[in-house]
Amino acid sequence: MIASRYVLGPMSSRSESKKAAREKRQEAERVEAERQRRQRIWALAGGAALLAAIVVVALIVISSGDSGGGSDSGDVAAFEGIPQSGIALGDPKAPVTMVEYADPQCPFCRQYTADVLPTLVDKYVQSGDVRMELHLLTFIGTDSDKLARAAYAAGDQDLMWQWMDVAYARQGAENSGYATSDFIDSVSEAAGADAAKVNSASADDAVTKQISAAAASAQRAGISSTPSFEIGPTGGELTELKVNQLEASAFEDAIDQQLADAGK
Amino acid sequence: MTRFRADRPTMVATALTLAGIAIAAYLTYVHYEGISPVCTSGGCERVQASSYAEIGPIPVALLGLIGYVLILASLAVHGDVGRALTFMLTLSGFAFSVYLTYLEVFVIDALCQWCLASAVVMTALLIVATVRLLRLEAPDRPAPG
Repeated sequence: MIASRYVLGPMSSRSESKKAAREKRQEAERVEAERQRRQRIWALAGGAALLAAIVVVALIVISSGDSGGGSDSGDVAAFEGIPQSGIALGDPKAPVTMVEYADPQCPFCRQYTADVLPTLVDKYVQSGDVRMELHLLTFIGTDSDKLARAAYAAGDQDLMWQWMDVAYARQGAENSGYATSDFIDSVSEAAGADAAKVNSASADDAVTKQISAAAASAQRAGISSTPSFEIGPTGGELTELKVNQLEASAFEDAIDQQLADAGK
Repeated sequence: MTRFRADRPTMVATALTLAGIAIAAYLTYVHYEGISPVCTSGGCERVQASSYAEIGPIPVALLGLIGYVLILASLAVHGDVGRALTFMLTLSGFAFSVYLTYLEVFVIDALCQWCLASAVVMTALLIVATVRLLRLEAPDRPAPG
């Protein structure tokens, strides 16, 4: 009996020691695993941040390149050598006429002028296939009226298309009052127009009649938004040209069809 | 077989991502339809029509939609790698949102409420993604039973 008591004591102590040692070892392993996990997390976070930086910088570089640096001079050179008369651009004998209804403060009109018009001018107007007309509406607000008057006045100098090209490139926030005298003068100078003559002619009744005529034409055509377009044989009946996107390809099919119908 | 149940940050991130997808999908639809977005900030049209609204042939709205879908997919990837992936995507989205907001304020001079809403969503997503990544307990806990 005494021997059994002596046998039990040491065995219990050893098992407890083993258990304690095992627990200590497991705790150390857990701490080490957790340390390694944290290292892995920081490594992943660092790698993720580096990849994110590369992606974002690439997007910004591409985006800045596409924007062209935000030039505010327009592209007046695109109209060089092309006959103009008032609101009309191109050869008066061109077989097809395309009419644009626009508001000087309309951002989509600006997008069309910057992204689509140069392509259409280069492909169709330069060659004498298409002549274009620009009818300016003033429904957005007071700044629209001021800009439209100045643009029609620039048309007296056969520079309306250059004038609107620059005005769109410098387009300000809607109805913010940005169409000041200084702004209009700067646009006139950039477009190559005589600023004093533009200012003087802006107030003429002739310009008021042009604005009224454009509004009446738009109403007859059922125009309810800008930019809107009509197309047809020169001197003939024009029909609405509907486009889903402001891209040159959206216009080219309709223009090519009209030219085909005209025998070109 | 153990099933994994999403923890609270993951559920919050999922909800935010779905909100971001809704915003980006609407802007993408508006872009391709050529219509004006519903706008109370006054500058949505101007921002959407600016030269910065596209990167090459790809509308920024579509890029945002793709980004949010990728974030949603990354939330379904378990473990630290999935969390790092979500963190990388939201960090990229946040940084690009900061750039776009800078453009609106200082270059385009117009504010688009939808773009701002997306920027807020992306900021919140980055915060949640960071919390998910740096949490030090077990990555994903198995559901009981």
